[in-house]
Amino acid sequence: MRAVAGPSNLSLGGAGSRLQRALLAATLAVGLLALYMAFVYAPKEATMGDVQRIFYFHVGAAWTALLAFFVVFVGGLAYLRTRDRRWDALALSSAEIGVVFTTITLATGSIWAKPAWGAWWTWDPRLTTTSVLWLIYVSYLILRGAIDEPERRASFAAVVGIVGFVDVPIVFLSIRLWRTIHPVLVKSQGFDMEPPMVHALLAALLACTLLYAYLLLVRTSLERRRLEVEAARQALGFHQG
Amino acid sequence: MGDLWYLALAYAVIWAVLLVYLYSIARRQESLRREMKAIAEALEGGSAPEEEVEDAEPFLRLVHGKGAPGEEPARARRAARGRGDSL
Amino acid sequence: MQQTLKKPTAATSAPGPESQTRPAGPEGRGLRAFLGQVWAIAGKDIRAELRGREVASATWVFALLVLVVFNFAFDLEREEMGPAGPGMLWVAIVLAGMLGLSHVFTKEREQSCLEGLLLCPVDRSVIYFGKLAGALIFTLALEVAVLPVFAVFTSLPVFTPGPLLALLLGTVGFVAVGTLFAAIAANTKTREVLLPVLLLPVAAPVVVSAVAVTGLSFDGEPWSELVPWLGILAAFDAIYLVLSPWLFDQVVHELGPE
Repeated sequence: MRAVAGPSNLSLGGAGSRLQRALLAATLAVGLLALYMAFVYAPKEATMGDVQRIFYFHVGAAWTALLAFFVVFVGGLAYLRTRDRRWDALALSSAEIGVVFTTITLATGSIWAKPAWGAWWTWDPRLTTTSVLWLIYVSYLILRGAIDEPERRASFAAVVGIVGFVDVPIVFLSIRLWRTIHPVLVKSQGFDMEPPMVHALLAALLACTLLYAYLLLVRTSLERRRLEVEAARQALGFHQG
Repeated sequence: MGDLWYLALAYAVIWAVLLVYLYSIARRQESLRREMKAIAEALEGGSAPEEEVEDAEPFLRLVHGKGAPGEEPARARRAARGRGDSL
Repeated sequence: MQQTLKKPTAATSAPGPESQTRPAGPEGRGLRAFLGQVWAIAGKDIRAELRGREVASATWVFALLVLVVFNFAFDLEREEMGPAGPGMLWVAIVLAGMLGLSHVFTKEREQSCLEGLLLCPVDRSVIYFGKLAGALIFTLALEVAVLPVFAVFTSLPVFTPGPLLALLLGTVGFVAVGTLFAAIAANTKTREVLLPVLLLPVAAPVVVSAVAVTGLSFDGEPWSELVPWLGILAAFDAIYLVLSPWLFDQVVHELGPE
């Protein structure tokens, strides 16, 4: 009966799903608007043509990834302060979603690079920094996988999440500076943004942020539900199934 | 223009990554639902009605109601604290 | 029942849990006591290493091997040594340094030592700084041993202020985060593999900056070129020398044997 995955399935029922449904609706609405603006409303770019339209959601994803990692940072700090595993649930969820958005940033950046600069990959500052960020948060997830005890896992993950986020500006600056002594072989093309482009970009940013919020809500409730079930199992003395 | 192909590829990749992640969440939800059903059934000594695994409250009520004798109340309180659909 | 921290004496055959005897080391509050405690912990590690020298010699040989393998892998001619040299040096140091770091918390005896230390009435950050000091001295000693060999292989001017400063600042930052992560990694299922996985991405700015300073220095660039990079290194060091002990303190009770 409930075999097909759909929005109602993803909400796991209950009162909180009202917020989830609202967020999903908002995400879909703004998402459609942003897509329209990216493809129709925004003008075709002078030098690069239609390929430039990748830019809107590429930047949207990048910004959202940064937001996600900030939430990991906050969740880690809050967990260390309160030792309440709900904060850890938030941090874990945000890290996963952050990796998803970082992957999208890298992939779209790479796909844009090919027609724009002739190569699938360039070590330009943005792509390089994004790669390091990706590695930092993937290592966060790998760390979590390597620890079985829940409190230890949450504490250690919090530490890595905090160290990682504090590192972000340093990584950004150092790689920016690095590029001045090793300029990219192919000069990167900039472009001037006309107002409609700015609007489209803002719409894409909003759409990505809403999507992040929705995914965060879904993933965090799932994680918290998992914590309950685990606690219930312990309380009842069940063994690991 | 051949360039349009890259545009399509980029958006296809975005959708693909998102769908893969959504699918992995859905799968984990299913397995969690199955686990909740198993626990509820073990407590009921038979089949558990669908409602008890859909919502947090009925499930937890069931769990705490059928808590093992001599069970630490602290554990049950911790379980109750860990729940909640609103953030 | 509290054990007081005492300096291990030469009579101790092997580093073991601190025993409950008349305290001979620094106690009490104040900076002097703090430094004394830090040095006691570092001294124990260093003495243990000096006695056996197993880890030190193995990491030194490993660093040399990395240099040699680089030459096989890239078949570097004399002209290419310039551009490739800094990278070669730092890869060797980073990899060998991580080998050394992974031992800071994983020696068998370490676990019971850590328990003993945790029972002591010392500020938790003392443990971090003690381990940091020991690891730092170890890694700097490694570098001192590798530099001459590198100089011979490449004929590059390593013994100049630029590279040396980069080595110092870079090592401090790398080991500051490395000590924290080593403590964490030692308490996981995957141990040694996890330390590089965690440390390398976070320490990327250190590697980038140190290689840049070294390379620019080899090219004979003036100090003004080096300053921004040294600034990044100094900032990294300052930030993590403050953050790491605080974070260590937060999770120290999770450390030790399972």
